[in-house]
Amino acid sequence: MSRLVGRLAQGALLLVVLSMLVFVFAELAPGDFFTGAVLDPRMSEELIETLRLQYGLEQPLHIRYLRWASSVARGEGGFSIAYRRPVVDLFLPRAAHTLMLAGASMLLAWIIALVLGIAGAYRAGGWLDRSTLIAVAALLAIPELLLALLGILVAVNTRLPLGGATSLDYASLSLGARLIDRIEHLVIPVTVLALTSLPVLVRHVRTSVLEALDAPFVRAARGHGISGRRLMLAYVLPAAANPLITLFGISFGGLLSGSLVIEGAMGWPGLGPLVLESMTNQDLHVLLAGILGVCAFLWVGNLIADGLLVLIDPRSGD
Amino acid sequence: MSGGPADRAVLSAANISMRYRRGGKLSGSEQIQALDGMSLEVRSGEILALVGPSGSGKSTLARCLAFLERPDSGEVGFQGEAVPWEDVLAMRGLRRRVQLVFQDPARAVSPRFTTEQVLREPQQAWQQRASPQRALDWAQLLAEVELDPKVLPMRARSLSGGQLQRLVLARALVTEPDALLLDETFSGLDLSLQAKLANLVLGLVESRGLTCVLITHNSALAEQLADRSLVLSQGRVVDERSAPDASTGGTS
Repeated sequence: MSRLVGRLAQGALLLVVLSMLVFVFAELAPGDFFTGAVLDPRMSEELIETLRLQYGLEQPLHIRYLRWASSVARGEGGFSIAYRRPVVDLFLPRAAHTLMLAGASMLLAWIIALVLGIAGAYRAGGWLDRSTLIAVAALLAIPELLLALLGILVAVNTRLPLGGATSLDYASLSLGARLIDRIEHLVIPVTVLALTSLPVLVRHVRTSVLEALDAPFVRAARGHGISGRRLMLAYVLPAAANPLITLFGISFGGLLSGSLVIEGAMGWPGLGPLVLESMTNQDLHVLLAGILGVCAFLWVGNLIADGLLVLIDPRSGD
Repeated sequence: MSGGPADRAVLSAANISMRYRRGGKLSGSEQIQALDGMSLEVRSGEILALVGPSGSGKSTLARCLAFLERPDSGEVGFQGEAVPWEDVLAMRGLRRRVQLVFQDPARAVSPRFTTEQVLREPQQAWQQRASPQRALDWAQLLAEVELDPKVLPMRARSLSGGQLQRLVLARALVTEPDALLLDETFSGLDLSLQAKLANLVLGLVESRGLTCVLITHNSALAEQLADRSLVLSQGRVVDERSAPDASTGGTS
């Protein structure tokens, strides 16, 4: 329990340090939110100056940081100049969409990776193993964006909808039809995102199982006439699990950052487009929330993985 | 089990060859000839030493003789009959009769199991198929390998090297094998422990009437323990030596 408290404190400290770093790096970059506004003929220089003063952009760095921090403490999470709204209001609905997309594709990718990786390692060099490896290598070579385009191509040629998380007439649908509508909208983005994270997962699963299969204690168990099924379930898979659980934690972060790109390409109403936009127009508080969100997500993933390791491994309980 | 004539072969290999591929398929693989037409016979009740430098194919041979790996060509025989590699169930039954004891006992035991589980696993697998159910005499088995019963609830990592080695020996005896293959079992131990374990194994061979194959790079040790030594090099048998005082062959 005290270990958990320690980890939580560590995570909080990590987020604080990271937020300071983002502030410093944003300061190093030239310009601010209103730099682009100078080109707008309707905006006079006096007006821009007034706006800068109004949003406190003229204040020194540490004051701006403290103002942001107090806004976070009030539960607003900062203020978006572009949308003239607290960041929390912008983030929550979009974050739900992103989590839905990332969670579903993570589930899909891991199921496929476990099945293909374990089956491939069990009959290493067999037809399934070889075709999996070739497919995975090909997938690794295709850029994410191209995969997204292929997904769009598929959507155009099928009845599957794309863009947005729901249809326009969503509000008028019955409960069952709403569920189907949501799932239909998820199919293509989830598949594309799962495919982007699949190659690394398949290879890791396969390698871990292969290594475990080769361990002397597995060989000894075979020598005792222990059946193939028990061999896999009681010896090989538990031995292969540890590195995979660690990878599971790391895959959280990769999936979320991958999801931001895919979302932009496929018109998924998640955090991706918002964060990308905040990056180009220097809407600092939105960008900050995005970066801290990804970081927190990755951190939670690792926490879950570490918790699983403790649960699953009797050695840590001795 | 070893009541037969002293010159009957328990295990035999006839012209077996085995080749490994090192490196990936795309990166220009290099073939390694681990066994190159090797033939040998292990007579009932004898202690046979296989001596050779690393890379001479000792461990590959051990895995073939324990029926864990099928050679690319040639035949492995058990009690005069060729091993039926295709028959999965028959192979499972056959494997328990020849037990391989590995070099590094810490890696030969699943880190997740307690000592008791380690010993129970092979017993359960065996009893599932054996028609007369027999209870395992734990106390006797542990006494045979001189292992303190206190270690039963402990996991592998809390045992000492000597205790682990004894545990692995005990595990090999659970299924009452006919032959014991010791793959560098005594290497990497200090001399007094080495002597203790060697004496223990000699005692077991005597009391259980086991046939024993001792795989080692240490020819002095081989000379001391074995009735007969085969010298291996590059996947072949290149020399045979008999111990002068073991001309009678079988020990029982």
